[in-house]
Amino acid sequence: MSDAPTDRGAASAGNRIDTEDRLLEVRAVSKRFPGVLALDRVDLVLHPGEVLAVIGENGAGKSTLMKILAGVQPADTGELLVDSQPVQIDGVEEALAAGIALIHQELNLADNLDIAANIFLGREPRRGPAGVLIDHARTHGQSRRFLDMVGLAIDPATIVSELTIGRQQMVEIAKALSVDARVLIMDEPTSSLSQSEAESLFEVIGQLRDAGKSIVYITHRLSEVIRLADRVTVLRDGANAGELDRQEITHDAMVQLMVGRDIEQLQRDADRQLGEVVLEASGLRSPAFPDHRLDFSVRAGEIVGLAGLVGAGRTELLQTLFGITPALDGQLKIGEIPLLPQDPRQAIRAGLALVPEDRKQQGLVIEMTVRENMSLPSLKRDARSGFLNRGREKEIGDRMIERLRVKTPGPEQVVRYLSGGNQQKVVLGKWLAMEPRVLLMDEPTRGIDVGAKQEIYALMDELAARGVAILFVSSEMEEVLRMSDRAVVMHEGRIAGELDREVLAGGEGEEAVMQLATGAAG
Amino acid sequence: MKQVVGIFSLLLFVFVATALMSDAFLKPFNLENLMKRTALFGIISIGVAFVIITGGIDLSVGSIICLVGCGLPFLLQVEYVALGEVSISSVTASTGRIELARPPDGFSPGDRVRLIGSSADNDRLYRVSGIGSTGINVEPRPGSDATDGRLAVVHPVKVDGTALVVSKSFTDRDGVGHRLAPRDRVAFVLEDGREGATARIVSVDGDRLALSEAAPEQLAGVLGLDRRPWTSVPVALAIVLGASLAIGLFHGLLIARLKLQPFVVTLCGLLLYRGITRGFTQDQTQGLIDEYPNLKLIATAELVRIPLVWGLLVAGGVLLVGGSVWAWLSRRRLDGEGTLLGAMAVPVSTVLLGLSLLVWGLGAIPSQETIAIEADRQQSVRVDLPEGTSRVRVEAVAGEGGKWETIDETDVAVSEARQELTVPSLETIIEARPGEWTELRVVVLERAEPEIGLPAPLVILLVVGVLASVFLNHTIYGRYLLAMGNNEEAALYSGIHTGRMIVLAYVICAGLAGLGGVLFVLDINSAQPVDFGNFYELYAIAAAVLGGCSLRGGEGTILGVVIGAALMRVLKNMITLVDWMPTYIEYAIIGAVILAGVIVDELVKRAAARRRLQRIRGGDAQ
Repeated sequence: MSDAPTDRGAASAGNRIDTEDRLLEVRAVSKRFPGVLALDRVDLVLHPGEVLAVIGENGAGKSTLMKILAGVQPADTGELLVDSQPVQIDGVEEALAAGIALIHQELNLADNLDIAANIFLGREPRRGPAGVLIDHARTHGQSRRFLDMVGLAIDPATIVSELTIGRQQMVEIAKALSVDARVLIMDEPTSSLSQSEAESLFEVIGQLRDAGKSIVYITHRLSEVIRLADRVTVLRDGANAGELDRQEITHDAMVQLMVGRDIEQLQRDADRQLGEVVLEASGLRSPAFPDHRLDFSVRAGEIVGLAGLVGAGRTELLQTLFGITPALDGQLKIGEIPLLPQDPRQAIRAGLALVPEDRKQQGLVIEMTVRENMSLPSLKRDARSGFLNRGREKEIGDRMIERLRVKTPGPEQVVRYLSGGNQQKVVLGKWLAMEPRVLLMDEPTRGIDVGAKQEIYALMDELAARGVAILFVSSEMEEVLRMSDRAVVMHEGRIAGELDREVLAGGEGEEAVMQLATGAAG
Repeated sequence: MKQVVGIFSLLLFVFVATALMSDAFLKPFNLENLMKRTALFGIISIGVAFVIITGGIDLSVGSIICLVGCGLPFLLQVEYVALGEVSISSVTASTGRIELARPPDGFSPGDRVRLIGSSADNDRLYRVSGIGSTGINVEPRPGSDATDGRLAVVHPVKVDGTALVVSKSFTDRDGVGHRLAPRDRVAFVLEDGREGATARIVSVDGDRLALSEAAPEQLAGVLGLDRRPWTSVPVALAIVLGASLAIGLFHGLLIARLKLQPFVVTLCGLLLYRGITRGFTQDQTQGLIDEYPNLKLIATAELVRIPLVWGLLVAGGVLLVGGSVWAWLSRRRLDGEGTLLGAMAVPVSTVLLGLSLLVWGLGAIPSQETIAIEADRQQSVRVDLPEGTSRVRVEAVAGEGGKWETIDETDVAVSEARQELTVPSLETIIEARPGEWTELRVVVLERAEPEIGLPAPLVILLVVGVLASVFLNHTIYGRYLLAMGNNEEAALYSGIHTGRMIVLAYVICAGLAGLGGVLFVLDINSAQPVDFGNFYELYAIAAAVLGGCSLRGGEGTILGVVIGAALMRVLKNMITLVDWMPTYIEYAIIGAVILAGVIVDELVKRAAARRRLQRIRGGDAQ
């Protein structure tokens, strides 16, 4: 991803930081959870008017550190200094008073209320006798000012649930600005944003930095770091793994600090052996976008990336293929059989499998064990007149744990306690047990760490080599470019175009995808 | 097993505490009743547990029990019709002529007849004075004209002890000869024309009818009553159980297809079925009186009756051995997880309970007992006798080392409550049987061994419980229910027909509620539409929750639910039996215990989750 656009220099031009001026400092903070040292004497320095990226694999301690800064959790030992003065932060209110605001990964807005009500939640300007009434005129007037600061030109009386995720994020930032926060902590802010929404967020971040605010930016997406960050602090296993200054920030340098070793970049097998067409849609109409008919096909052993912006209808397409939102009409051939699945059972019987986007909600029964999750789709196939086939079930669990190298104390471990990457492996395992002909994957590596990502890629390669057709949705450009034999790019519910391996592998691949995805071409 | 440990400890604790606080608690009669009620509530609680496991709720259980409990006796109602009854076309007072709907076969001159349900004079006897082709003439003449009612022949009888000798054969309403059979009834008709009580026919021997009641004075004769049930037992059972299943299907479809909230659907059901029941019964109590004794056995039979002593020794032995094995296994399985105290608490208390049952059982082994008395010259003395004592001998001795001599031998009334004997004062005894008596004692001569029976519903619970447990843990559908309860969306994405599973859960729940309703009414024998089964859904939900079912769904064991139901019953029993606990605070005590149970359960779960997390994090860090 070394060819990602780098406008970091431009955005921070003329904003020279006085490196001796420390807005926020963390000194030797440790935090122990039962049985694990989550943070081990971690240091962190934040200067005024800079964007500090904090990166690390899952479980490296990023979130714990941010929760301590935002007053959600107390530190066991160590010191926090604001403006070089030691402060005691025991709660969110105190953090806000010190000028530190956390913008959560899952947004914390009351989405049934309007924007103004959210911005002033708990601190509503009052009027009337004894101040029992909310001064709506003032809340709205002031809200408009803060919305302007984040470039949102919408009525503060708009109900939050009517906003896109990207705009909700802006409201959240406006809310932080309204309490006069000087440090904005953003935890994976782009994880559910479309490309254009992310662009506007980056713009706002640049403006805030120019206005002297400091931003702690937590992300998995290294391209964003390259683009935005003035400095990078890398955490590994709860401790400082290193720091990178602006000129040192490269993809490889970051990965190396994060994993503590060089990740061997998988060499794509350029010539996958493609077989027969096993999934063929013609004139398919999904209920989400009834105005468009979709035509595409996937061949055995082929990996097809489904690219596009968030909201382009990619997830909806997978759900229609899998029978969750059955197609309105059109034809679909799975193998030799024409079938428009009306529910997931039909799709599964025809040889389809779906690794859904929302792992915890759709992929896993989080309170059940690894074995129970992995055997769930195949129970019926293996049952003897309705009774569980325990032997077979156990065998599936053991086999998949070994094959996918799931890090778990055993098959009887409750899935909730596994890391994101291992949870995703469990989802994969339950479908591999069904030996699908077509594997549909929706954001297969979202929220999992670098190491597990590589394993998932390797597994996709292996499955393709064994003749499984894979259709995967990804919002990570790098993933699409690297994994796909072919990319199908969607734009607003229709297929904007297809790009083959030569284009994707060439230097112009990313640009070609973006052109189609934004509707600029095709 | 782990999930039921907490609730089982609580049950043991409440059980032992109640036994210590109340003598009546461990009486066989009370224990039998407790087992029976536990079984009945256990059955409906298992049904509710299935719904709770899917993450739903069923508030209609009590009303389904009401519908079935009132519906069954309603359908099995017996109507008694006088044999040989004929409908009346008209009564003409002036001529004493009564026109009949069919030719007056079976009437002969001189017969005495009675009007039933006519606007002419009912409560008097008429004598047939003439017979025409379409009617009869009667003496005396009726007081008024009428066009309604029926006419029946009063059969003259001779009283022979408790039996009756009938001198005229009974015919049914079609005029065909009909012999009365045992369990039919007769109605006594008095000389002044009034109809008296009815009596059940115990046996028939030719013309001799043995009756359950003695015939009254002034008996003029009897009406033979034909027993006409509305439906047969299998049909009635099929209707009520079919209705329950249909209700479950209805709830399930509304919830699975229309996506209505279970709370709302079943709340409406709660109102609907009770209202319907009160409607068709017109709010009248429905009862089976002394009909259908065989059917009632389903709920009231005692399958095995064994001496209480044996019951205690066997139960004590099983608990002792089981608890010891359990303790041994727990010790080995500790694995650094949890505390020794936590792991051993239940096994050890099981062993202790087994031991105390054994001791109690050994103590209850019957032996010839001699009870010394603090004899008093003036005062008579009350002596507590061992349970089941039926005959005693009072003995007296003159001075130290003298020979004990029999004063009196007497039978004692056996009672479920305290057994006592009043021994007269020394002076009274000396008066009756002169001697220098200084000491008295009572020797128990005969003592009925207390027995304990195994109530039939407990066996039904056992069958239902085993089936439910196998279904939940060993079939794919049980696994689907658990998975769906945890995460319906993920289950759908895994190819599970979630709608069908929801319907199945509500059908099971309503079906078991229906079975419970049948058993409840057969046990209690009558049901009032206004309050039969009231609150039972809440007892069932409480039992399920106590037994480890989470209202969030996806969790629960059948064994836990049954133990939960048992705990609820023991609690209620405790409040009834223990003197200083006023029964009117029953709900408060039950509420408090459930709350405490759930809080403890939650704390235990959290501790377990923490330990688990700790192990995993610890493992990752290495």
